[in-house]
Amino acid sequence: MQYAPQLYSAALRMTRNPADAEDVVQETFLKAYRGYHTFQAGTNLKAWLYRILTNTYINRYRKKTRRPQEVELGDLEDLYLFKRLNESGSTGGASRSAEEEVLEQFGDSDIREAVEALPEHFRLPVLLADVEGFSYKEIAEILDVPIGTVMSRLHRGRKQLQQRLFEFAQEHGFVGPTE
Amino acid sequence: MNCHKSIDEVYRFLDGELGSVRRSRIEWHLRKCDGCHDAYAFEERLLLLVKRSCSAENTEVPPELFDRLRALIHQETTEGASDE
Repeated sequence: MQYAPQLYSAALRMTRNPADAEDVVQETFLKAYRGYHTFQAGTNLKAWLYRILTNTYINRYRKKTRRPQEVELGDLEDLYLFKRLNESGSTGGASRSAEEEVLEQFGDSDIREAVEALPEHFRLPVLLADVEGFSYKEIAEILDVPIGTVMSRLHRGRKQLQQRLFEFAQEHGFVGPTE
Repeated sequence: MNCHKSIDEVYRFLDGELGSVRRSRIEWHLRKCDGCHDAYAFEERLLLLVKRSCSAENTEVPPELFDRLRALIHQETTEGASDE
């Protein structure tokens, strides 16, 4: 039971819906309880539970959730948002933290919505790394993909998130429109 | 260490996924290079914002869920016992 709060909040972020989150956690507990003999003592219990949770979520909802635009846009450049804000120069330039100051204008819900809008194969690694704080190796175990795939999805997911945030910043006048 | 390599490793650095030698090389570079230093500070700030924003929602476990989990464990335990 000690992991229930963590698993529930993770499920809530994945499903975005309290009723679905409860179902996912309940099913996770059931599977964990029944499969506990497959857990190797001394290994990472939290990652093992998240793996069950994530699989349960994927199996239940992947078909149902809106299919994200699977069209892979070309890889975005590194430091996407930092460079865009730097170019737009609308924040005064001279200050060392001019780009960081723009970040302060985003509300929590703006950032949450940008994360939620990510395609699922980017959103889950981003949630597991940035919110739950798992290492690449743990995420690889949870999602059952090679560690290189975790890095690639996580880094590309973060860049796509930055692209959405930049669009949002333009729409809301945090930065000037691009010429 | 040059700027290109330092930016290439920004996420692995911030995620704590680099060994100590690589880390200190980057730290040394950041001390000398304002551009990379600002970029790293920006990326770090953004990661913290994502964590804060996504953790900010009220995610307290509903008491009914605790009840359901307790009932489930109880059921599993008693069923398991009767199987023997």
